[in-house]
Amino acid sequence: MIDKPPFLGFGLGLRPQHYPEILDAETELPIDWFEIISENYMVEGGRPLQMLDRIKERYPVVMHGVSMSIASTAPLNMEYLGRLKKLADHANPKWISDHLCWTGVHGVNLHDLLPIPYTEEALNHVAGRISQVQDFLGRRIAIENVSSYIEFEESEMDEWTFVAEIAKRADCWLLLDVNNVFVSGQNHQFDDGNFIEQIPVERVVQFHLAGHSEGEDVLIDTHDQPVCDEVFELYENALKRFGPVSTMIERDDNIPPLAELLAELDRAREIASGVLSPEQLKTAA
Amino acid sequence: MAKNLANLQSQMQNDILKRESRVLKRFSVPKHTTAEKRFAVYQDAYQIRLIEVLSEDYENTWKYLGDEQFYKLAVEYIKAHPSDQTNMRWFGRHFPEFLTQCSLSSDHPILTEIASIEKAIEDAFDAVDDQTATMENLAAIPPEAITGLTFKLKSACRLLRQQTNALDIYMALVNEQTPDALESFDQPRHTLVWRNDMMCQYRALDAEEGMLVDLMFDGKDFALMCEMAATMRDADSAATRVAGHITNWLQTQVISELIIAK
Ligand SMILES: [Fe+2]
Repeated sequence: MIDKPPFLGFGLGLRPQHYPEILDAETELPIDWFEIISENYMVEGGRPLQMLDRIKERYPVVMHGVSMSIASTAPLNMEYLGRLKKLADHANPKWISDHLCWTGVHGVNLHDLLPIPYTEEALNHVAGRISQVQDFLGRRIAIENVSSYIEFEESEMDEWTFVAEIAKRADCWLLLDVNNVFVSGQNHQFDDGNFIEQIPVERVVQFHLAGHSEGEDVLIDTHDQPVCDEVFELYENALKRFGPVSTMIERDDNIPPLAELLAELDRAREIASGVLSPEQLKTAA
Repeated sequence: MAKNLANLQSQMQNDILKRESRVLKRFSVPKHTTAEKRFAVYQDAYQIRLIEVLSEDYENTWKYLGDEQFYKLAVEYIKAHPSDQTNMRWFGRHFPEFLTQCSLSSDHPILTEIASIEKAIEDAFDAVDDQTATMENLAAIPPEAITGLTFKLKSACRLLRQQTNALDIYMALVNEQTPDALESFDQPRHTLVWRNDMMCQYRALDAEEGMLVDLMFDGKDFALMCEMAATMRDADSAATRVAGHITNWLQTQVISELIIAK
């Protein structure tokens, strides 16, 4: 039916701390692609854009944003979308993603990925906005499930039903964050394996693997820890269902030397080679 | 319009910003915990995240103030200037100015000046990549056009005029040394912040160079720069001194364009 973008293999979130290690590496690094945080490169000039230019010469790049606020009831931020489009023209990403969340209303940005109730009203609202954004950018975008700490009394359906329905109605891609499925599953006591089973295979273009931390009676999506065993297990199940999907380690805080992330990425590779055939694991490049 | 969702988002945002709890009744959480505790994750994260951004962007102002005072001011700032930016990079842009008005500041004009140095460096970091004028460009200017020559500074350039030894204190803080005692001056001191080969740089300018950079920012020409330099120090060598500065600015990527008068 729909033409999925190519399987890129195993990548990393690009972080400024690693620029020298990546660009000065004498031997080729076992990284197939990079995800950039869009907002960090939506600047006028200087080092960020210079680094991006050098990275994109050598690696496929995807763009991942945190400020689209697609589920907000505030008007779409066209100025932001304009700058996002300009960056996309420059970076030539394989795809662009953001989160199924809202970040603020009334002109305020809370800089958080806030959840919404899973209602018919929200479905219509969010699917409509994704369509508008896709029309504006002239391409499908990928929407990521977030970690959440609360649910809403008014929800009329499960998160997985909502996510699957959004993808269908908006005709968008999905970025499945395996850690977020695990964290939300623990926080809301749902079966994370079932969540994954309910997500349509043909929509998922990317996996995030990340770490979280433990609060009081709650798991928090902090991206400051290694990926835990349970998340790797869930990843294995996801591979069985979705087949080859571009996979990356998403580390945003307490950032270790590159080698540590490469070791985590190796673990993902190893799991994938146990599930997928060499033929399936061939990347487009 | 998603009326119910809009109402929920307004309530939830209000309760995050003001740490209120009206929205709690709309949440559902497992029995072993409470809606208060779970919502507090969002309420805490909001403040922690923004304080973290401020403490990164104004690391040396933080060092100068110490944890407790910086935290207090950061909390006040967050209340006065909730973020309206899609990039946290810009959240702290009003902080130097905020420091001039805050309660602690009346006897600490130094705070704003240290924070201004940090902001200027941040701004230089990702300013527009405009062209860089070179010595070759200068050599190509016809001799008769030199006196009317004006200069466009690179977008990354900032000229700070400060009343205290903020730069010395800032540099000591950067180098993890004990800063000198605070000093105030009658005549402002000039600091130039700019970007050379993608690296942010800063240096103190003496009174003459500070005045000359000021004149360049104002679009004044070489002849006027020489005239003004002649009033400050030895008149006979004024043109040579100005030419020396121009050479230095060209070599360190301070100037974007040499403009010949029409
Ligand atoms: Fe993620």
